[in-house]
Amino acid sequence: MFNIQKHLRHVVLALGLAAASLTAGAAVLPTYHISFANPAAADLSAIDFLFTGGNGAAPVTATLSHFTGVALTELDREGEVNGTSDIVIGNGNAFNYLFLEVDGPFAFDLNFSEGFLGFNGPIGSSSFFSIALYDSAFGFIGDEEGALQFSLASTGVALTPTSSLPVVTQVSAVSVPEPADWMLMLSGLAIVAGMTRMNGRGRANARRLASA
Amino acid sequence: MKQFGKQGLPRRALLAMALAAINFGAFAQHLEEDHREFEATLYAPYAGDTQGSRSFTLDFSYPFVESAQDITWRLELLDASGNTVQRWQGVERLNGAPRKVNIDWAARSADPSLADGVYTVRMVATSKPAGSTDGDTSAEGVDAVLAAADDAEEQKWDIVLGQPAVTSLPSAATVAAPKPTTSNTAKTATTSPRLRAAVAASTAATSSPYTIYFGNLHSQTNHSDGGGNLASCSGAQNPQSGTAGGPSEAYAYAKNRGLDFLMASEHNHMFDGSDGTNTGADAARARALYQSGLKAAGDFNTANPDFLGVYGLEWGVINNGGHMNIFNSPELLEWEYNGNGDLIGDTYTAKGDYAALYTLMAQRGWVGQFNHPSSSGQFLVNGKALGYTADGDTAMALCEVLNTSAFSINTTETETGRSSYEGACQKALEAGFHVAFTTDQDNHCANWGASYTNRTGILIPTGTAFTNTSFIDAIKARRVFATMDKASQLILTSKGNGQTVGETHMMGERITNYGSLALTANYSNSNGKSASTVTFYEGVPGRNGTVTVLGTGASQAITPSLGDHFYYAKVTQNDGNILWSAPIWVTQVAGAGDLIVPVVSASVSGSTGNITLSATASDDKGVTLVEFYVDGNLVKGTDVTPYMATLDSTKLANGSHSLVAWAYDASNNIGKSAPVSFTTSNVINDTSAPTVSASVTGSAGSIRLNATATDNVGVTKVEFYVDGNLAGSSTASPYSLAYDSTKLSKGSHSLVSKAYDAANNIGTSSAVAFNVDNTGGGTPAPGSAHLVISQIYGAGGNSGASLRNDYIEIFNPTSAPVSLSGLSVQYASSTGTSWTNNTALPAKTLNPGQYFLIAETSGGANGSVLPTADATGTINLSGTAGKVALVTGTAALPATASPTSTNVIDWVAFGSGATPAEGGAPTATLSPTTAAFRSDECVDTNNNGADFSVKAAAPRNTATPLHSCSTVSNVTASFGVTSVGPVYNRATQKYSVTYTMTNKTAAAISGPVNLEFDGLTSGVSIDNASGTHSGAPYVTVATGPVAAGQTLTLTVIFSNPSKGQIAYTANIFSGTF
Repeated sequence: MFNIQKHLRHVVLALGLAAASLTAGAAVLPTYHISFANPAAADLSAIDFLFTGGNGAAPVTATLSHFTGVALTELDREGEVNGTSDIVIGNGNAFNYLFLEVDGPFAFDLNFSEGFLGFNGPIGSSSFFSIALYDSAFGFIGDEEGALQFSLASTGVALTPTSSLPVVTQVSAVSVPEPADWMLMLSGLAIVAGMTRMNGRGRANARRLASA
Repeated sequence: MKQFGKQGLPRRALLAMALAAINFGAFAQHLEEDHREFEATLYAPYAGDTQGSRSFTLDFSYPFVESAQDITWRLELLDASGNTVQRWQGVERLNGAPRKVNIDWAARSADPSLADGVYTVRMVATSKPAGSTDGDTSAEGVDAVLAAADDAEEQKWDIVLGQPAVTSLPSAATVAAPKPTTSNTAKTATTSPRLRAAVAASTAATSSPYTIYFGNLHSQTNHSDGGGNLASCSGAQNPQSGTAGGPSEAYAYAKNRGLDFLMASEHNHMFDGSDGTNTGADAARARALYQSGLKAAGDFNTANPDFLGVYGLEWGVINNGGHMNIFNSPELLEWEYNGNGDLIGDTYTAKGDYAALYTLMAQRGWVGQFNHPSSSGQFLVNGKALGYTADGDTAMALCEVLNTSAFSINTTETETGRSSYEGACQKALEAGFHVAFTTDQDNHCANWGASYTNRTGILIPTGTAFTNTSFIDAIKARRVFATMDKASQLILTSKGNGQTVGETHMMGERITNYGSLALTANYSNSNGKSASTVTFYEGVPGRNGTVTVLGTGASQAITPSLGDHFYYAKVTQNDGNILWSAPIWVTQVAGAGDLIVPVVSASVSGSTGNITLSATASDDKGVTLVEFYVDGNLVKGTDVTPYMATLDSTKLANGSHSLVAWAYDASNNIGKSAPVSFTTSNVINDTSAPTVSASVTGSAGSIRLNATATDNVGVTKVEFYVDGNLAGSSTASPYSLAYDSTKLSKGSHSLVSKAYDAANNIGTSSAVAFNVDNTGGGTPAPGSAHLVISQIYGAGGNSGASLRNDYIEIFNPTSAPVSLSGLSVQYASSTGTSWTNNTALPAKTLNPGQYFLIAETSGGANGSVLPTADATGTINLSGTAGKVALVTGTAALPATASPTSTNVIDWVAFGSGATPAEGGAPTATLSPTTAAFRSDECVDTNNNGADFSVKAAAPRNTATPLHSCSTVSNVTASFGVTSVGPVYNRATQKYSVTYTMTNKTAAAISGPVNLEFDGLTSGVSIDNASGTHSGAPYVTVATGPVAAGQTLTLTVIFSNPSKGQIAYTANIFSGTF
């Protein structure tokens, strides 16, 4: 396990009623429910999310929501990454990045905004969202281009997993989660991001990981 | 044991060998190596029936050969004058087993006019892998195959028809007599050698100075691979397995069969009990076995004083070797070691090293015999068959001229299998060896000396006991003859020095003679046989030439030329049996006053550059001249001591050569040195690079890259470079390489050829542009594949001219730079054929779309000065009509040149009547103000009339803006493109985008297809760019055409260190940038 200062605040990601927002509009794309049941068995110790927009790509956001399980600790974020409970990552840049420490089993939902569908952009206007997994020695679990790779083109999203560790369930309807132990994890998230950023050591570690 | 090969191998011998192969793998393998040799033998009965009719038998075999063979053979019957009386020929398929062909000759039954006399039957045959000849059995077809064969077997025998005149010969009995027959063996068996000698002296000395002993100098016992039981013997025995006995049994058998001597000649490498090497052999036992053989002979001789048992070695192997008998070695010579590292013999001799063996033999005083020699491939010294050395000449005294079958089991002296080695023995004599002829039986079965009546006769001075000592002395004196009839003898004698009386010289002697020389063949037979023919042969030792017939008849009287000679006689009896005398060696000198021939020896120092030939010569009356002969050619004569000559060895081929020094005295006697072998090894100092030019044939599919290359020494290799990449090479003229043009994009490419010589000098050709188009029915390339003549003006400076000089303008319509190096423009008049008026072009490279101006002569001061010329020449073009050619090379085109001639790159006939013209049509006629213009300099349809128009002269040069003939077009709209990415690789920190491009049109899009990234974000670069075009990086998607509906996939790697947005405008282009 990489060295993380214990005083870092947990990023508490909670499933909320925000799920209801997913039902707004005629959702074409599925919700990807991604779970890691036993990270310790696979020595999973960190996870990152990276969204890259191509040449003249249509704006797209990826939303991470409904986090459950052992809270994750934020190590780094760059670019169009916003939020602390629900996290929204944009593609308006070639490096929109969130990096989190894994301390136990967890799960979350991933959704993409759908404005890019049918967008007839110039050559190379696709976008690419990827989730990479790291073991305690900073080795990649799955591909260095992403254990889960989401290719976004005007015709839709194509998912390519390169690791079997994440269990991905695609759901087209909103599922209302049971109120469970996630309730315990609710806390003031607003300050978490700020403190994380201000912690030099954590940030240094994060950079190491990001560039590992 | 070699012998079986030289006459047909009995079928059961092969069967036995096949069985041996099953039971003794190693043995069989050895046999294969030792006996895989084509054998062709001829049996021709000497006499026929009352009409002379008889049957000739041809036997062909090729033991252990790996593939079926076609034997092409010819049999000829020749009369005494050598004219062909009758001939037969054929082709036989040999599939393993030997093949026998019987030819019935009807003789007088068919042609009653055939005269009495001796005829010769000659067979020539060669073996070639089945199918390698056309099997033509006509006389012409067979003759052609035999003429082309360098390894044909020849066998010939004399036969008799009717009752030819008997040649009257002096009786040999006056010279030598057979050993008296001892009828009471019990009495002689107990006499001592001394008593036996005394008896011999008392009975023979009165009439003959020599007593003749008849025997067999070649047989094996169970000390090696002989001693085979007659009931079962059919070939060589497994070493030391013969059940019929060793030397003691062999001597007893031979003595009982009336022989006076028998040699047990045991294979030197079989004392380990193996044909190959027995690593488990007991070396001490092998040595003891050899000593036991020597002792057995000694014991037998002591017990049987009227018989001489000889025990010795048959040394060597057949394959890359040659068998030789060594008669008097007390040491077992070997090259094999057992597993303990012990030599399985007494003394090491290297296998196949005859020169070293000769030296050992000369030092030890051992004498030897060439056993069943072959004219080629055996007894190699310095790579030369039967190669001469002085030690070899000392050691080697005998040569088997005829043997009977080595595997015969005949015990009634009627074996018909036989082979002659006279040609090889003649070769040994011409090499300089002083050898006498023998005929032996090479018995491997226990019929020691009984297979035929052939014998080797040895002359022992009457009164001298026949012991090992006198036997060796006689061999050293070459007082030996060969006879196929044990009741016959042939002794060659001479009288010389211009006298017919006086001292008689015995065969085997080396005499000095002046004036005339009389040679006499003394022959006798105790059973009433007579001689049908007597032939004298002459040769020159050391000449390495051909032995010739001196004459026929009982005697010859000649005056030899000054120098060295040998002479021998050969008699054919009226029953067909043949005898060979020993040679007499004669050194002919000028006169009685000086019988001493100079003695000379030669040496060589150096092997490179100038080498020094030296000679040491002496003579009782003084040496007057020394000449040096290298490889038989006179190099220099000198009378200055020390005798030396300098020879530029670079004038000799690298390798082995021979020097002989000749020394003359005042009487013109000539002494010749022993040949000295020397080796030259010059580094050929070659600084001249080959000259090479390149060309291409074809433009689609498999095209051919060609080169013409010459060199002062020799071209070793030509390499072909296409667009700078090595495509392959060719090592033999015509230098050419097939090349798959589909590897190349459509359009113009460049070929350069490089020619190498042995010294690694490299000549590089001019670049040749060639066009490739594999679109197959697509739009032909509008650009030309080669440089073109784009403008011609001929009225320069003439009255009314618009420009001061004639000029020729060249243009590069290709997409690649083209070098002008080595090119020329050449001019001929409108109908002329002389192309000597030409201008060589400078070593300038013309870029795509670039013009090149060559200013030629001026006819006066009229007109404007030309723009800066890129080259100038002195061609005076016609102002109206003529011909200009752009040519590879600067040599004038031949009178027969045409637009399609070799080396013509482009050709323009301008003005009405100019011929020949491309397409048969010249351009219109020029005027003082107009030039012939290639209407579109990018187009050459090979029709001058169509391609050119006549317009106001306007010369362009290398400074003129480029006129691109590029066919590149933006085909972005023709493709549907999707992409995946940008994908960020967290390890490499690079981005990649995979583009999938589909030709959405209904037509093929010609290649190459490139994806170009215009306006790429600053700081972003493409790792796998194929190049840049107009400053923008591009990646080649396809080198060839893209069919309608075809999909291409391309992954582009971006370096984007700032991780900012990657923006660009992507365009897709068809065609070569």
